[in-house]
Amino acid sequence: MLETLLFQGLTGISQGMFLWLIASGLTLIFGILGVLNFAQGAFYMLGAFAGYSFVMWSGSFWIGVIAAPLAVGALAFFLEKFFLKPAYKLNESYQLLLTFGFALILENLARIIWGSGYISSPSVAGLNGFIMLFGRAFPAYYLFIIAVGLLTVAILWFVLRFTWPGRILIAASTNQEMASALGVNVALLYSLVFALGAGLSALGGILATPMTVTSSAIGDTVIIKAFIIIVIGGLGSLKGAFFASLIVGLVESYGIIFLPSFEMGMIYLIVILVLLFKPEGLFAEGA
Amino acid sequence: MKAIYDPAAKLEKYTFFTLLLGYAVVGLFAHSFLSFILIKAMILSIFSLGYSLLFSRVGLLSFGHAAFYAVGAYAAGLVMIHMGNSMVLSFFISMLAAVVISAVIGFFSLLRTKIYFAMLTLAFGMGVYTIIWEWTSLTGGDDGLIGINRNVIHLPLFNDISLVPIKHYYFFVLLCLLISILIMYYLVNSPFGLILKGIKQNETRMRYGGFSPKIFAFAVFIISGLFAGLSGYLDVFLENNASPAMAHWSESALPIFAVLLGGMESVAGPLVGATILTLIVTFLQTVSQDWKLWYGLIFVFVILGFRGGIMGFIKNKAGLDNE
Repeated sequence: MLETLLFQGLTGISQGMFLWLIASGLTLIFGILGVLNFAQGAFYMLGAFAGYSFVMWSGSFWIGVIAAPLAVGALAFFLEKFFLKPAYKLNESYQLLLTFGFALILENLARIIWGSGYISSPSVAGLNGFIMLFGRAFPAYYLFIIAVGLLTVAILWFVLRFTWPGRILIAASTNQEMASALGVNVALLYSLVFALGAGLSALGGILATPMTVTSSAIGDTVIIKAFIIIVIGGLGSLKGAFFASLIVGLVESYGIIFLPSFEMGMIYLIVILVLLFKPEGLFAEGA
Repeated sequence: MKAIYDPAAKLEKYTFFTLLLGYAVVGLFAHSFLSFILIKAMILSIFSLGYSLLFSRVGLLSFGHAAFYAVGAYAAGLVMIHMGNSMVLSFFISMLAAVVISAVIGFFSLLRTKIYFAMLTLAFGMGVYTIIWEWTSLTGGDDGLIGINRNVIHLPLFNDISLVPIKHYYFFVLLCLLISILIMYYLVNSPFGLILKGIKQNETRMRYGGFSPKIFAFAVFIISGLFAGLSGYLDVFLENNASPAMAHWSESALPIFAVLLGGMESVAGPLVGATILTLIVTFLQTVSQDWKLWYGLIFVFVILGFRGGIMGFIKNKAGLDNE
């Protein structure tokens, strides 16, 4: 029993890492641009499909892992530059609606290009084995995902905390006008942050393809979970997004053994409890 | 207030009148395909009318209203299947279900406002979608509920009315639309409507005046949920079936789009927007399989370049732009 609990715990943490990749992008974009990006789920889905095409075409999973976030990031860069930029002066509802429009368009484009079937990448050479943990065989790929997730946490933390570009980002999110007065190209910075956020989501998408089957509707599922994570963690907090991703991942993986077919219900229950007792989110800084 | 000559309000009234008259006249002569499309347009008009109260008057953006639309449809369908085929009973149960579900979702979503509200309505709305999809024994899962047919309504004091012919159903839906417009008109111009206007203009002052914005937002949420439920009820008898897709978030985009297209600031806007949107979507569906792509592109265009919507455009042209 204890082994099962630990095993499910690790599975949940690896699930949480996918969610973290989407939620961290969502948080970065909101933190800097002030836009809640509804298309984050669509970027995840595009990452999976575009990455899958790269993998099939090149025969190497790693090329897909590198190319998918770059391609989706480039797409997001142009979407921000040409469509989102004119909307910054508008009410936040319009910005949200605009990204909602992006999601509609991208989901349909994906269906035109790749059809409405399912895709699944072949297992990754070198990571397709099992590692004995707690007396059970644990897929090595899951451990790899956990490592990638933790690595992105470390990189984001380090960049934002200790490097010059990170400080510019924080400066621009605190006071945009001041940053631009100091010579920061805020317009370019915004495009890059949107691309980075989309790229993180796309990375999650391609990394998920060897362990799950993916359809063009996957964006729906992940954006809802990402929104739930933001509500639990508190908007604008990367720390909140990380811990809330772990909570949702763990609740899902334990939910499957204790309350099968009700695991999504468990997540809603947590949202309701957070709303009732700590409505600003568990890790919100200030109000 | 009434004493001031207000050409913009007059334009709104003429628009309502023209549209309703247009629906009535075309309904007399339309063949069944056109009738079907126009009934769709009237159903979306009712949905959008209720939605605009929340979106335009209170300023809350909900992505979950498809859930109430679906609940209205499924409740009606289930009553028809399991509780003796009465369109009147199914109407009441359908409205009750829509009110209960929108009260529950509205209560939790309104614990936060603005962007959180939008995220929560999406999450809870898709929760309803998942339940409809998974609870196969009740809802038929993927297949949905099928074979829900219109029948005869028995009214006391009047003759029985058969809604089976599509022409009869057309005028029944038109009557529902007329009643919805009258209710909405009454609501917007009642003290309740004035309080909403006050909250939107200056929330702090209204709060000092002793009005709790949350309670009014909650009431509006339920009213808009009720209108969504009514449109679901009307739709299930038009389509003769209910499917899980009705609860999907892309369905929630329809009333948002209709309100934007018609004009956020206009009372008649939702009706104009819903009518034109239905015609556009029907056209796109007949010429292209990928109509949602075009639909999304028009959506982006309207937000970026056409925010006043059709009514805003007309008012602007007529020099009535007083907003």
